[in-house]
Amino acid sequence: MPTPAATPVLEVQGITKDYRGQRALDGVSFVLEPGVVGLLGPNGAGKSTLIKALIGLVRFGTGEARVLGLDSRKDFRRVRELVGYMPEDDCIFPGLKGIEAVAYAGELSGLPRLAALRRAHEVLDYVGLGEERYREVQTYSTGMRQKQRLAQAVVHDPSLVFLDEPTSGLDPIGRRRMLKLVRALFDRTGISVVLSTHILHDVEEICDSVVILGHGKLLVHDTIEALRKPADASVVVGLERPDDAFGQALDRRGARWEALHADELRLFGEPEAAASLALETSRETGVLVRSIGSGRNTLEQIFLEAVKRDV
Amino acid sequence: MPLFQIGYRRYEGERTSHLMRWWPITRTGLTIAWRSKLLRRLVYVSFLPFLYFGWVFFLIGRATDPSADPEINLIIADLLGPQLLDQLQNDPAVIRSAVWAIVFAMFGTHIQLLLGALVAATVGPPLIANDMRSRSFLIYFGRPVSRLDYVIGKAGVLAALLAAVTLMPSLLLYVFSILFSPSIDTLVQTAPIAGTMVLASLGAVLPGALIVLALSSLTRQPRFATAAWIALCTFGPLMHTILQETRELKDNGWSFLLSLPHSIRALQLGLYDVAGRVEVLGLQGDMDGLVEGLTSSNSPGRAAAWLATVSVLALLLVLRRVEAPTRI
Repeated sequence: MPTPAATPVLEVQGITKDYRGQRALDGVSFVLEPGVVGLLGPNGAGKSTLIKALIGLVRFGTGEARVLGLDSRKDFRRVRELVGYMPEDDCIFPGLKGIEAVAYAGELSGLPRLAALRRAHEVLDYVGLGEERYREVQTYSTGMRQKQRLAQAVVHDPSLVFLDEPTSGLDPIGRRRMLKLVRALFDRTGISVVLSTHILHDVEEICDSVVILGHGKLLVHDTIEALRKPADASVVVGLERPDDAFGQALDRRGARWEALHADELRLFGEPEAAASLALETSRETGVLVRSIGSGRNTLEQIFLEAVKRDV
Repeated sequence: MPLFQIGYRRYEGERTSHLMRWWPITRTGLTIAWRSKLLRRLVYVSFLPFLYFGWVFFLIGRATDPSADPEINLIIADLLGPQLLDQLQNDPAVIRSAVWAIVFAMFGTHIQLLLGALVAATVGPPLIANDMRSRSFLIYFGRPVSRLDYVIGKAGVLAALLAAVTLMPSLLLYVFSILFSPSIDTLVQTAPIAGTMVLASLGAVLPGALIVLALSSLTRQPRFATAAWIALCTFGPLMHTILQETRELKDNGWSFLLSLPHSIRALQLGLYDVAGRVEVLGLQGDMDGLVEGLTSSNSPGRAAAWLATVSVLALLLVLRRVEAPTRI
């Protein structure tokens, strides 16, 4: 049964975690509704630590965390039954074939032996591992291992899955297929997904909301839609080359604008009027306009701004 | 590419009890271990001594059977000595128990113990070391599996295989001996010996399994754990022997604790009460060479306490080592 929309899948309140005096999580608080959520942050931001803390792999210092309404510290066994975890590391069960490893993961999560085997076949079909399931996992390619790990994460039918870098090492086709599978988990079955990754495009493509961490702190948490929408209507104007004359001309016309890069600026105003103004200014100054695009923020801009603010 | 794919389906069936979460770990460990040809051969070889001891028990059974061919008594007298043959025929109930206990103790404390050590060296070292190397700890502990479930599951693999080469041949031999006994009374008279077999096997299996697991948890390279186990099984007895050869330290009553095999043997001989049985048979002095450690000052109680301490320490070490990698 999909989680009812009203129940948050994660409620995190002021979590802190120290590793030998080094603060890995610093008072992180947020509430996640069901959906596909991107967990972003530079290396060492605390993404993996947060996931491990939520499923009880590491003990956090202060704060509280509720996973699917359960206290992650007191009910850690029940939490792990309801949650799937695909670790970042290339971890495997040595000496087992693909189908055996997935069935074994199911049994460890509490499925009876035959049910685990049946589920293992189903999820391996679902992730597209085909006949390769009868090969030893140690002989798998990177792409196959990723599929295998996804199958292991969902074999026991969790209500929430934590996927740590599920597309790393995949070719473009494999990456696209993996993202499609991850998105389908929520769309078709109601399994919420927390996707921890460095690849912003992956998050932009399939996530409903995003959590950005930096130095163990929460930097941004909102829906992708809300984040991409700028405060005011605007267009992004790309110039053929950096030229101050274009900006000066806009100032003379009383336009409101801001530089994004040396050869790119955001021009505020209703899109049609702003685009006309950009073209007129181009004619006036002789600076060629390379592109006029939507003024919506990209996730890359949001991420870089958030991380820059943190630094 | 499947012709028809059912897609992802929700699971609404039963879940197993938390108390049994160790069982898939043991079963899967046994499946992987049994793929090793070396292990299979060791297990088969462990049943070979059965053939010799089976013959001994067959003869003992015949000796106490009044309807047996008198010619067979000559063979028995040759094997056990005329005095023992007389005792067996005069008071079979008491003497049978004593002889059986001594023979089972010899069977369990020599070849089977050596085979157990070899099985432990083959199966034990990769059990945790490989999981550390492949980082599969994260998969185990990202699931409703506790450290204790994990350790019990892994120890179960070793315990089952050690029992397969120590307890199983002994029990089989016991059943065989009962079948060749002249009356069903034998079962009643010797039933405590079967219980002793289980205890004696436990005395070898538990410390052995936990020590090998502890060694396995200390390294990511199974071969280092194998080397450490072999060293433990070799240098301990060597030290004990050297100390026994030193006049001042001979029969000191503690040097056997340096040797795991000697400690286990002392415990097992104590459980079978071999010294008491030898006294019943009036064979003091004759059995010293046959049952190693029989008349030395090795105290079974001290051995039991020492093995229990070592087992608990090994268990604590494994639990600690298993927890460490998940914390980074």
